[in-house]
Amino acid sequence: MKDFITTNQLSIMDDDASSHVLERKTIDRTKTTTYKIISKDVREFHFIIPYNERVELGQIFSIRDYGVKDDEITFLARVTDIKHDSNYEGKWDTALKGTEFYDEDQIFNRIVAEPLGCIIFNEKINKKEFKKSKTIPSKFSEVEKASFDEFEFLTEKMGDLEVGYLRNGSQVVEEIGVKLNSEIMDHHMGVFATTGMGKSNFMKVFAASCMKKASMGESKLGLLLADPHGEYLLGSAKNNTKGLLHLGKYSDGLICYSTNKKNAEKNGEVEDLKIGLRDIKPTDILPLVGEWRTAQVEAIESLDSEITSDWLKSFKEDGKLVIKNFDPRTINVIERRLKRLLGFSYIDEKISSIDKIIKSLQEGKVVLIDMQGINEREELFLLSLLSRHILDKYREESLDECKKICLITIEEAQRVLGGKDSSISRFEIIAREGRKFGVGLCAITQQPKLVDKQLLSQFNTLVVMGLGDRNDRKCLEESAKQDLTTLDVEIQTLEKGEAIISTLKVPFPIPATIHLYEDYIEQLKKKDQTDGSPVSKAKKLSRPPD
Amino acid sequence: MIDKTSLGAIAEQVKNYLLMDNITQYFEETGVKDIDFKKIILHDKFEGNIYAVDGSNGVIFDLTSVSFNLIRAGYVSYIGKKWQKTVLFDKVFKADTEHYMYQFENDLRNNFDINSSFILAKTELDRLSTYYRELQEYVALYEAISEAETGDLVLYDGDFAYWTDPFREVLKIIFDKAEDKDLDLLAISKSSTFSWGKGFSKPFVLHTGYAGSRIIPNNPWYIELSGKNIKPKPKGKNWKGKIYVIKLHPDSEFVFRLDAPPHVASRIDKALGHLSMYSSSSECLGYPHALFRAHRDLSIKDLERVHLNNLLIDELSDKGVNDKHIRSSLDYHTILEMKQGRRII
Repeated sequence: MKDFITTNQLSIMDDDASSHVLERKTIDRTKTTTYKIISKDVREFHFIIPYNERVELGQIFSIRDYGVKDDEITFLARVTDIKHDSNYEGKWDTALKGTEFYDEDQIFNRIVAEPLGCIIFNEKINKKEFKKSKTIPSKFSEVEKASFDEFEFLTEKMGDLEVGYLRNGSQVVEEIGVKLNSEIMDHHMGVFATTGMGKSNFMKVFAASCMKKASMGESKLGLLLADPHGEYLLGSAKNNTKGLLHLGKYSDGLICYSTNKKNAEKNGEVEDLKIGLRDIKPTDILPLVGEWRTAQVEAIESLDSEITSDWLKSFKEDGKLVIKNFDPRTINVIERRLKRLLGFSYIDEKISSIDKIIKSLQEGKVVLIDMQGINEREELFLLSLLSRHILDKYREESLDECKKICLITIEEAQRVLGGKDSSISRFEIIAREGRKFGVGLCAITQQPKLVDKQLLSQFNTLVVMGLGDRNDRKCLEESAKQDLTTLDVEIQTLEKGEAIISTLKVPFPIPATIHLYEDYIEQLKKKDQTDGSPVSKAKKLSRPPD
Repeated sequence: MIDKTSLGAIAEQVKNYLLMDNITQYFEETGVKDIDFKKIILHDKFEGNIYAVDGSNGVIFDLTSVSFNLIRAGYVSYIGKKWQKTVLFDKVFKADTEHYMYQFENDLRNNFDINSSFILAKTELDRLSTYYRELQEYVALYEAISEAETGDLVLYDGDFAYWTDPFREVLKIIFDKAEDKDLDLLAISKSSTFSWGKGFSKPFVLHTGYAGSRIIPNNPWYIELSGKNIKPKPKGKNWKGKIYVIKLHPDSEFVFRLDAPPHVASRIDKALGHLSMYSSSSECLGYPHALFRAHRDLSIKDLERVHLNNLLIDELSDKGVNDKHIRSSLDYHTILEMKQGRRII
């Protein structure tokens, strides 16, 4: 029967339509919206998972959007938050009287994920490549835990100095080594963590990788590593840790000095550090003392502009300084402090280690200066002095393209980069200008909030290893070149040895598990024995159940 | 604005209906006795399927004299406490009082092999779409019963007792099929018009709940209503089944009317034992959980209704009907409401 009802001249609907089922649906347990994109926008993806399954902050998921022909995209997104959610409205869960949850498919966890980018096929190069994503996945695109294949592009983005493995949540992806790029180290590196989170271990692993490169003749970076606590040289028997000297295989990539004669005598590989009298300019002594009066600083600067290279030798012989137009009492104070300097065991009339140190750095070696036993001000004096010589030398040879980049490490960097103490402004100069001459700073601190913000913004590689203080995290988030704001909770919950590494050339902040130094040197030894093939078993990433 | 005194007077009247301050009067006037309340013994070894049937409807285009309604019916199935599936089907029903019969007759013929004419009393015509929805629910119920196996529990959201035309034949087919397959078929009403009292129409189910929970405080219970002095009489034409008031969980505040066809009424203890067992979910304590799920899965949300309305307007545009035509056809209330966008329902 065909029967048309008309309103004015218009036919509205065929009567038969109402007799037919418009849609018949059977929804069963296999049809689920879990692990499918349900919202939200270009900056934030949401999907849900069953309430009894686990996902961790920082875990990376892949979203396959193959719905559009010839435009297949795989998005990568990192979990930034996990929330309880359900299909029920309101505060149903606080008004419950029963104890049994029947409908497991109605209660779930909502995963908030930050898009990292997308993998698309580039026809021009006939290869998949990673790009920043400028769109969103189609609704209900399938989500699954990212597999090794989807991370593989990262291997091309990594540098040459291995420090750990990629971490997906708390799962280690051993197939993907996290490697820093030595070529960008003159853009400065910051290592930030509270006590006990693994800063020293990280530096030893980093130094070991530098040593290995140097030993193999592939180094592009000279590393100056000051060791005020003696932990880098030999490790600690008490804590059962090892030092750089234990990496015997690559010992030719390491040059060690010590301010402590006993250490030098005990270890054949360690030389006695010597600073020659001619190495020291008057302004070099400023870090020796925390507070200088303005007149004293002016007197020293005046002296700096007038003296000859033998000024300190002359002073040692005469015991007198001649500085015109300054009060004798001001000069007396400077003389007294210079005499104290001359009493330091590593100050030598004839011999100097500085040229050799710089030469080793220029050859791309690791130079370790063991400073165990000297006080904080002496340590700053020595570092400041060495930094000045390095910067001067690199400045002189700035046109030498074969020269390796130099990275100067400073422990408790907030002491010298706080922007307040003018006596140690040399480090600030390196932070601001060093990259022009191939000199970078590696600032290690547990209180980034105390580092001058402008200086912090000069750091292009950040290794963040767990910071409980919100102000510290905020400070880094404001200064980082990559967006760390969404990682705030993850940084707060990082375990010992876990890190977020933000660096140039890698498209997003990389979650990493830093090698344990003692394991790493064992691994390096084994790798040599097995001709470079990987030794550790790879932990495969599992897919979620259907 | 109504003043506080008047509001107080109204509240007093509501209170008289709501509360039962004299249980003796309740017993005397309704004929209910203490011994009528029976404990439900939970049967926790039930391993059958539970089916729950429900439906919903919503207007998608209203021309006052005729409206087009989206009708949805279906069922959910559970094994124990685990949801298995939801089956639903949508239809569009044209509610035209001059032209409705063939739609019913078509469905009755196709689904139940009933070839009689379908004519509603004049007083029932404004409930056309409700009747059509009810028919679709019976179709879904029949399908669920066909799928169910011996011993399964089949629940229907509504009642069976007023088993009169126009669907008397349909219900007979359903009951016969349920009996043939030895299924426990039960209808549970979320609301009831049963009342008691002289001069006042006091809510019977609510007050029976108060009484039952005093008599059997820590256990689910039921009471059968045959011979009780309530309005309307709990016995429809040709209805041989029984009607009950049930409380399915001791911690719940709610009681419900339940209808059971004759073959289930004869073993009601066992059927209620199973039902009570699966009425303890966190989401809806004291109500059969499968019916809760059916209600949620099968309801037509306002958003969906409006979406369909928009699609329909697009189709009308393709057929040369412009917005002016559509607006001029509307009930003027809709214009006064000043609803946003293209939404006209």
